[in-house]
Amino acid sequence: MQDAELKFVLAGPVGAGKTTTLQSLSDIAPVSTEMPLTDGPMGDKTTTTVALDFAPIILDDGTPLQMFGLPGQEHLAHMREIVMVDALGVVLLLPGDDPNITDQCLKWISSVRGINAEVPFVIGISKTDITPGFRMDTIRCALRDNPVPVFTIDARDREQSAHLVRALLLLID
Amino acid sequence: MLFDIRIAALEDLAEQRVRLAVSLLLADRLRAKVNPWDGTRCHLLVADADDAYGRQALRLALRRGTLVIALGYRAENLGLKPTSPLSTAQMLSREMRTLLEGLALQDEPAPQESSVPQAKIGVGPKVRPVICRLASSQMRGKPYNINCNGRIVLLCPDSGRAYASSHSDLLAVVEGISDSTIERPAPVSVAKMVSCSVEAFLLRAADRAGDRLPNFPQGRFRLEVWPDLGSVPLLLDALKIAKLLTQKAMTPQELRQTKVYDIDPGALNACLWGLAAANLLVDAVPAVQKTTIVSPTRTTVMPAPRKRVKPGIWSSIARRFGLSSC
Repeated sequence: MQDAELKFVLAGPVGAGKTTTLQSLSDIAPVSTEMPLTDGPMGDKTTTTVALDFAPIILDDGTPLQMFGLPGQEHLAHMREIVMVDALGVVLLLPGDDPNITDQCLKWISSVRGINAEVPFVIGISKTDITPGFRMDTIRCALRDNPVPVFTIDARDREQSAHLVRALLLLID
Repeated sequence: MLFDIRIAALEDLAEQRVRLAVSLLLADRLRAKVNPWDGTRCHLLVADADDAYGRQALRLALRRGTLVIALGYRAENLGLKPTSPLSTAQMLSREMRTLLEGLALQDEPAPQESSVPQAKIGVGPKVRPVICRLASSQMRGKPYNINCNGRIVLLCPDSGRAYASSHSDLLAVVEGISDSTIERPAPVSVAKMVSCSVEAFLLRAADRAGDRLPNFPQGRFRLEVWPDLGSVPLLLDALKIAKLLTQKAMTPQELRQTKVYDIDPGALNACLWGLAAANLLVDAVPAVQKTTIVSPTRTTVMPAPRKRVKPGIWSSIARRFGLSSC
C-alpha cells in the first residue's frame, strides 16, 4: 500500500488571490496556467487561471507537499472533484471587495463539502485593506454552523499566507 | 544610551527577527543598533550556537563578560541557556530588554520601569492599562477612539475592523497603546479610511503592552469563533491559544500548563487580554451544548482513517510552516 501523496488545495472564486497566495508560499515559481482576461483587466487583475496552478513545497526530509490552486470559473468546476481527491486540507480564499462575499463563501463551502464532507478547511479573505465597507460579522454569522478559522490576509505576504496554512495544520492536528 | 548589538552566523530569517526585535526595544525607550560581529567589544551578542563561527564568537564574548543570546541547542555546551532559533521577534525583544535594562540601570539610575509596577499591581482605574479597560464589561464590544498623541484609531468590534486615517496611525497607536487615551467616537465616515482587523490590532497592542498588563483574572473561558489572526503571523502563541479555546473551555492556568503547545506565559497573558478587549473571550457555561455541535472541522481530527501518511510527516509540514510545536 502506497503512502498517500501530500496535497493541499487552494479554492475560491476568480480574483480571490489563489495564484498570488500560491506564489507567495512556494519556494520556486509555481507552474501557472495564467492567460490574459478576454474582457480586459479587472482593476489590478489582468490575467486569470485557465486550468490550475501547482507548486511543490519540499519538506526538510525531501518529501514534496503539493499545493494546487483551483480555477475559479464555474465552467471549470468539473476539475474540483479531480484535484481535491485525497486533499489533506483546503484553503478557501475569498475577495473582500466582493459585495456578495457571503453568498460566495456559502457556495464554495457547499462545493467543497459536496466533494469531501470531512476535509478540514480554513478561509482567507483578501483585499480587506482596500475595502472600507468590509465587515467580519456578516461572514461569521453565515458561518455559525461552521466555526472555521477566518483570517483577513494580504495574499502577497508570505507570512500571512503561511499563517493560514498553520491554522489548517492545527485543525488537522 | 545607544546599545551596540552584534550578530554572528545567523540565518537570514533569524537575522530579520533579531532586527525586528531590536526595533521593538524602542517602545521601552531602549535604543540600539545592530551590526555584524567583528570581534570588537559590544553590549550584546546574538549568535547561532549551532554554527562553529557563532560558537567562537560566543566564547570570545563570554570571556569578555559581554551579554549574549545564544540561538540553538548547542548553547548548553557553552554553559549557556539555549534560546530557540525559532523564537519570535517579541520573545527575542523581551530577552534583550531583560539583559539590556540591567546595563541601562548601571549607567542611568533613573528607573525605566516607573510605569510598570503600578500597572502590574492594578492600582485603581486611573492607571489601568488601556487594553484592560477595553476588556472590562462596561466597555467590551463597544466602539471607541484610541487617541495616542493626536493619532486616532476607531475600534469597531461589531464589524470586526479598526479604522484610521493612515497605516502609520494604526502602527503608532499599537506601539503607543500604553500612553493612549480612550474616547467616545463621534459619527464619522470610514469610506476614506484605512482599516485592519480589530482583533489583530488589539492582540498586537496587548503584546506590545506586555509586562505592563496585570495577570488575567481567574476563570474558565472559551472562544466561540476563531479570532482573525491573519495579519499577525508573528503571534504564533495566539494561534495555538485560539486552537485550544475553540475546542474547549480552559482556565489561564490550564493553558499555561498544557504540554501540547509550548506557550510563553507572557504571550498567553497578553493574548487573553487582547481577546477579551476584542469581545471574543466568553465565560464558559457549565452546559457544553454549544461545544458539542457537530461540525465537520471539529470531528475531523485525524486523516488517518482516510489515507495513510508517512510517520513524522506532520512534524515536517509543521516545521516547514514555522509551527514547531504542532
